[in-house]
Amino acid sequence: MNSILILILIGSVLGSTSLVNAAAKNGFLNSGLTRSVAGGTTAIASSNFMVGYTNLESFITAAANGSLGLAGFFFIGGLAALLITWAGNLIEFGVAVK
Amino acid sequence: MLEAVRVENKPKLTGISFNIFALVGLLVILPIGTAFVTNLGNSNNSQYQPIMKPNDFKLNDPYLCDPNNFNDFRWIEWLDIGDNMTSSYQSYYGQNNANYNFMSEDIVQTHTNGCNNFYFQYGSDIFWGNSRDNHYPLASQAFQFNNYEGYIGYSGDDFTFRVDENAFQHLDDDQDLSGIKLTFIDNDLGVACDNEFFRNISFDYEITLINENMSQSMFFGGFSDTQKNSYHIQYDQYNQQNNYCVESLSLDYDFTPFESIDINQKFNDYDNLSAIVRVFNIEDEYNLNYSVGVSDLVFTGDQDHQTMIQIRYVDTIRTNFFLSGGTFILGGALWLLAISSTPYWNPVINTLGGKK
Repeated sequence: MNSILILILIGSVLGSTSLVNAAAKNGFLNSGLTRSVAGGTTAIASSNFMVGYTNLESFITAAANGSLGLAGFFFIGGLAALLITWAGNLIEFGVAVK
Repeated sequence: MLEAVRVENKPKLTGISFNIFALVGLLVILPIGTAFVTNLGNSNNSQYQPIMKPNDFKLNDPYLCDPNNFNDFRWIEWLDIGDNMTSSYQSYYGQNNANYNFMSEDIVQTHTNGCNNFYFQYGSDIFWGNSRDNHYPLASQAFQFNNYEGYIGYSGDDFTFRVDENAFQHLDDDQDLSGIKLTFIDNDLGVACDNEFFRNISFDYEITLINENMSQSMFFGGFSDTQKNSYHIQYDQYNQQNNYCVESLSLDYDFTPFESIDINQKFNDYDNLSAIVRVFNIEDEYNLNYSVGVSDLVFTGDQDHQTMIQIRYVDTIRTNFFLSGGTFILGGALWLLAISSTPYWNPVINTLGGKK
């Protein structure tokens, strides 16, 4: 079951990066968004393949350093709450979503 | 009949399958959602436009007419002109040839009646010497070459120069900067656009914006591009020719909406702005052969070239509205997803008829 889960997760990552990559190539995205930098910070997702997540990383970095104002902190809070909840559920119940 | 009842009573989405559904949803929807929001924030970007308009540039400009102030007129200054190729030039052209001393300087300073004569007027447009269109390219410093004997084939793959306040004075302080495009053009050689002389060049580039007293600076890196080294001249008014290409290289600093907001919060007076520009990791097909002759790299360290500066603006108030609004909606969705992941509230599972 775990191997199926891993396969599905890898598939979803590939699918979403392909979608965002295709959007970037067709001019849907501002070319700056496909760069690995937001506000001059060092990137984690720096390969061309991970361009979709590069933008997500830039977005999270911009939210965390205050570029998006209160809405950014609200977003970071929501993401943190979700990850903490899922981690807590995994530890306590053995599943992410209870 | 018994079989049908059993199927109906089965939860439609349970345990691990719902977990997979939620994780996949997050992995797919979150990057696409953020891409959508950031792109929405960037939707009011203007098109690139040259920073100089026809009436901004005058032949009788005091700077042009005063040889003592000529240096003040520079818009681009070299900080690193590439590798020191002096010994290579001397070994090729003769040990005593001093025409290629590294970082020595050559700039056209010919004057007529006190005014620089490398600019000329044709109709209502001002051209730089050798220019074949009216995009107001700007003079740059170059290597010294009193008795030019030809390019040796290589001058390094890492160049740095400064775009000074003279250039940024032409920006509109009432608008918010969202992109800078520098196009380097060498008008010395014009050929058909499909000539094999024009090839792809790959390179990385970065920029640091600095205010007048250097108290504030912002670095933007991670830019890279592969482009054909040609610039299309649609109509050459001076030489009465059309549809050919000259050598060029273009650096497009297309800032993200976040960066645009940061830039315009930090630098609200463009008159005092300057920039350090670096181009590096240049992979130049001709240079792999070290062939002597013309290069496909526009700044070879031994020739002059012109620079066209284009700018684009964005309304950061609208950008802020779209970004903040979109981010708030995304944040709200994440909070709802977090709460619904607890045992206390399961709206999705209840709706789908899942586990009770």
